[in-house]
Amino acid sequence: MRFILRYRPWIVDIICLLFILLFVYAACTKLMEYEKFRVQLGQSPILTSIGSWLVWTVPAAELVIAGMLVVPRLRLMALYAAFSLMTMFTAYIFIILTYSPFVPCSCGGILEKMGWEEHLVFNSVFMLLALTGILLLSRKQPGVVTGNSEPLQAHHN
Amino acid sequence: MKTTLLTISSCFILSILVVAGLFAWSRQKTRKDNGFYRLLPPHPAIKVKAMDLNYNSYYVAGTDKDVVYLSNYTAPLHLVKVSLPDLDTTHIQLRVDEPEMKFRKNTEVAIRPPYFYLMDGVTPMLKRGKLNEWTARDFMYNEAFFSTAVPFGSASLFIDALSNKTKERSLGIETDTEPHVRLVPEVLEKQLDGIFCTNGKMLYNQDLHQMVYVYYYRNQYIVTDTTLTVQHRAHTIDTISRVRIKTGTINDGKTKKLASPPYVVNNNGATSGNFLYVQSNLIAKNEKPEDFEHKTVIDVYDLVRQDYAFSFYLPPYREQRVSRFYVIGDYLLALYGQHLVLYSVYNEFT
Repeated sequence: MRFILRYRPWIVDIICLLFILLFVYAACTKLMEYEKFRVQLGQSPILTSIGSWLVWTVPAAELVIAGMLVVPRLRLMALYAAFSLMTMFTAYIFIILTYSPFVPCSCGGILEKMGWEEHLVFNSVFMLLALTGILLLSRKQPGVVTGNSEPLQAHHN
Repeated sequence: MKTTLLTISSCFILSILVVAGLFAWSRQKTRKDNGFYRLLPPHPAIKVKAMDLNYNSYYVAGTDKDVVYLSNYTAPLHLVKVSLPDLDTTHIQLRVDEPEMKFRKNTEVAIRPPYFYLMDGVTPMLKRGKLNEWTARDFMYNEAFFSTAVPFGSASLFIDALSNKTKERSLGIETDTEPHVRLVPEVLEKQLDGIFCTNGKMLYNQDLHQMVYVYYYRNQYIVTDTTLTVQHRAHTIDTISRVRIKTGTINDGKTKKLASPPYVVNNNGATSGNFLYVQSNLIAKNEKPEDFEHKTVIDVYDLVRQDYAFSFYLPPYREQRVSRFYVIGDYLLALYGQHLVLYSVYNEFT
């Protein structure tokens, strides 16, 4: 615990960096292989008829969140957004694996090699990272008093 | 801390709701409003084997367990027995009780174990023989004219014929018992001229004992039992509910002709197990035009649940498109000109 708290700013930085890498990478592969992505979304079993506008909004949201993560003032909000987005992706995969008549076979870039179950794990890890980031960042804010905030203050610099 | 947790939980729940909502909305759009999207699962048809038949006039006459019989439009007495899935072939020469007999070009061979049938609706001529004996003889009343016939019992056939009374196309049943021919005009629904507008592909599903009629020019198919009592009428997934053809009457005032190129909706069909397979001519909103140009799309309908199931593509073979196809259980046979390609089809998506 002490370790986490000591390196808290770094941990938050690393989490943000990971998210920036993930989102920029994901958005770029989607936009670079725009045509492929469009078809994939259109043929996705649960988004068949609404794929057309998601083609733009998904990479756009990823880029906007990545941008917000760079600005310290917007970080907390960005982490909430990242958490929400990862939750959506995870929910999507979950629905596909449970309710869909068939499972589509592709994602973007390296992630294409991943199976859907691995994808689920991968997403969950990122959700946990975002969660950690949010908790660490929001602790730092003044005025937040919780039961165990006293000893934390002592180590705070 | 409390507010943080609250925000996190609401983000979590909202995100899930958004995706679930999108899912529900999309599903409704795909299924119900026929905005015409296809469900395209990955790799549903996998090529097993291909062979060269040397002639492009072959068609599938019928099946018997793991065997498919191919007949030939230019040589009706020449039959090829093809085993599945090895595609080993045996050539069979059919015999007729009248050796001098000449065959018209529209003579068709149908296999319905334990019999095979020779049928020509213009002469008209109907002959039947046993598989493995291979000699066809007259076996029942055969005075009725028809454009297509599909045997479904040892001495009963579904026919597609012109009604003497209405001069319009009607489905009917021809049997060896009186009154021999019974037309059931209410099966087909006239939209324009009653001849071209109701044209379609007649199929018999041996597993469900149902007749399936797929209209060529509109998005409908009809399912009846073996007495031609309509069990249900259903729509194919595209949106062409009205026939888009023009017909004209020429010279003598009696001959009707197509006056415009027909707007084909459903090109061809096959049925096996609980499924109806329709080769569609129309592109869906979620398809690439390039895909559609080269590949052949097959829409699969569940005849029991009376619903669209999914679609899949048959890729081109030697730069040709599918000319005819046939489904037997988990196998799909596609004829590409003179080539026969065997696919295995997975129906587990439904």
